[in-house]
Amino acid sequence: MKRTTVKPAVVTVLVADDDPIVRQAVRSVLDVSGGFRVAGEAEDGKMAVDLVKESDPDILLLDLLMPNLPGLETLRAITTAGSEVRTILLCSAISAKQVLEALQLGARGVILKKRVAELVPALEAVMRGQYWIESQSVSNVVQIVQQLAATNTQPSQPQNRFGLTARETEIISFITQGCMNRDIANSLSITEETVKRHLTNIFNKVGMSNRLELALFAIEHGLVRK
Amino acid sequence: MAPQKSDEVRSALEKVWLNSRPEALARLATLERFAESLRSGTPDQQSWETALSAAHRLSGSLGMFGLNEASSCAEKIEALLGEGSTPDLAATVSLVERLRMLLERTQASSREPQRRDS
Repeated sequence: MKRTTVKPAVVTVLVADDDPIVRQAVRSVLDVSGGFRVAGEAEDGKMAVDLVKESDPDILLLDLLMPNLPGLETLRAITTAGSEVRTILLCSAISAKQVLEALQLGARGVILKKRVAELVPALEAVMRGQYWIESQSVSNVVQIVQQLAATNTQPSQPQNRFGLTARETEIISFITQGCMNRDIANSLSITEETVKRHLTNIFNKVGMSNRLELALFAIEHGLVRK
Repeated sequence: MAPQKSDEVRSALEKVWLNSRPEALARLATLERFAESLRSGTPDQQSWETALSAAHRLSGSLGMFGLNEASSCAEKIEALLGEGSTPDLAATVSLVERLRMLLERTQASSREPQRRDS
């Protein structure tokens, strides 16, 4: 069944980390916070894949470096299997490239272990259907996406697909640069309302539902000029 | 998060740290043994991998308890051990000794306030 953004009475969480101290710390934070239940603990990537299938948790907290199957490969396996678990990476350190790869693999957030006190706000944001990247807003995520746009190997000429008009492609290019509607409107000498109308049309054409997804999609499909 | 909840989270993490401190010290001991084996020659692959794992776990877990300086020190050890070539003896010993000093600053008893890194 397709998950909705309605928060259930108790959010179930699977904790996947090879360090028992980390798992215990996460469990303690969730226990005192209320509204969460640890559905299981996995000490390696393969076990995480199996437990996601078995317990179908709402959220998977996933470490990057784990035995047997590393975090991103675990995420890939879970996504490929069609699971709709919302995955948040819980890691000591992560590069922008890894963040992007994780987002492209379907992760909904990243939280550093040293910020575990922010775990509950992160889980709540993700349960509302938002992304959580180190306490930062979606526009910051788009900035990270922009970094990938600067380094990826897409063709220099944008691909004209999905029935996008030249103006729509232009707007997508602004989105991948992290621009807000007002900035786009000013740059193109049009109103914000017109920008919103264009965005609605773009979302309908490419099947995305928010700016982050659109930015990732555009980069992946070479819709914007480098 | 509400201030009360935030205090509860902090208190919960402190309890976990007090329970986990012996394990953290055991991981530090692993690093000290590795440094010692480095001093007496090239350490075997297994002790190297065990030390790398200990440094990685310390780096991640210490940060969770607000021990940021200790976590950063463990991260540097992890980077040193993860380079592939035999780690520099002086740098390794210095970092491991510093980590010992930082961990000993923390109190083993819940009756005494813990000293947190800045």
